[in-house]
Amino acid sequence: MQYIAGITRLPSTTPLLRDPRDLPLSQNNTGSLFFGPTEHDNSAGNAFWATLGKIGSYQTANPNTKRTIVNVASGQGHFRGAIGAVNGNPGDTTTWTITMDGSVYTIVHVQSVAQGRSIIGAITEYGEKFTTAQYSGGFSAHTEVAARADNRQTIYRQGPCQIRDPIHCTPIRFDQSLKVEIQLSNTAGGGNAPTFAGVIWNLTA
Amino acid sequence: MTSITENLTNPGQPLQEGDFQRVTRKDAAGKILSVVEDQYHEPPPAPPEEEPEE
Repeated sequence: MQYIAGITRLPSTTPLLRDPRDLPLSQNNTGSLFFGPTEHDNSAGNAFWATLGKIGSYQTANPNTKRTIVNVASGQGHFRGAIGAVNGNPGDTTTWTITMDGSVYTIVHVQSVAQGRSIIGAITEYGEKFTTAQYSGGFSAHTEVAARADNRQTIYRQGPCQIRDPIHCTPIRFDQSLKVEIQLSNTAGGGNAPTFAGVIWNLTA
Repeated sequence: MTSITENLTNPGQPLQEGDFQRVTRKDAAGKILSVVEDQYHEPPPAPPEEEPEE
């Protein structure tokens, strides 16, 4: 907090985050999209993607082509995160271009594993590696988190990946517009068909 | 509030899986609240109803 000439200035007019780059960045593998106990692929309308469509938008992402997943040309709401399409090999990149209220934010995410997906935000839940003793009660920390050096480090997280209830996802506020674009490097999908990428967002007015 | 959905891929045609859509929401006075463009996906088929256990 700054004090200038007797006036108290708050650092922001809102307690909500404004920069999507402040959200955590992680990655997981393609074969682990779950809706409940059932694993799903990239078929439109399956339970994983249909559910994501109810809390956001999704579409295919292609190599070397920037695709717009959602364009809120006018509106007020929250951006909560995104799940990228499958990249091919370690070293491939997912480039996110997020335009909020006229400001452009770019996130270039280099995959460290084959068939990886870039994930922005705390939008996913991963399978815990509980022991029988941990099941009996209390809290447990993700074993993958223990490998992190800091909160912005991107690591590969194994295990089933299911989308969280958006109420648990940190919101980034936009007042007028939101546009989320994705572009993969040239080995997207590992030579397979292009795969879906999704964005979790909602309008508030 | 009213909501108007346009088919951007095939204007004037019913939306089909993969078409791009524009959804415009207006309040009762006709003021535009939001304009959103994204890809349309058909809803998944309803899961079969479970038979009640005897």
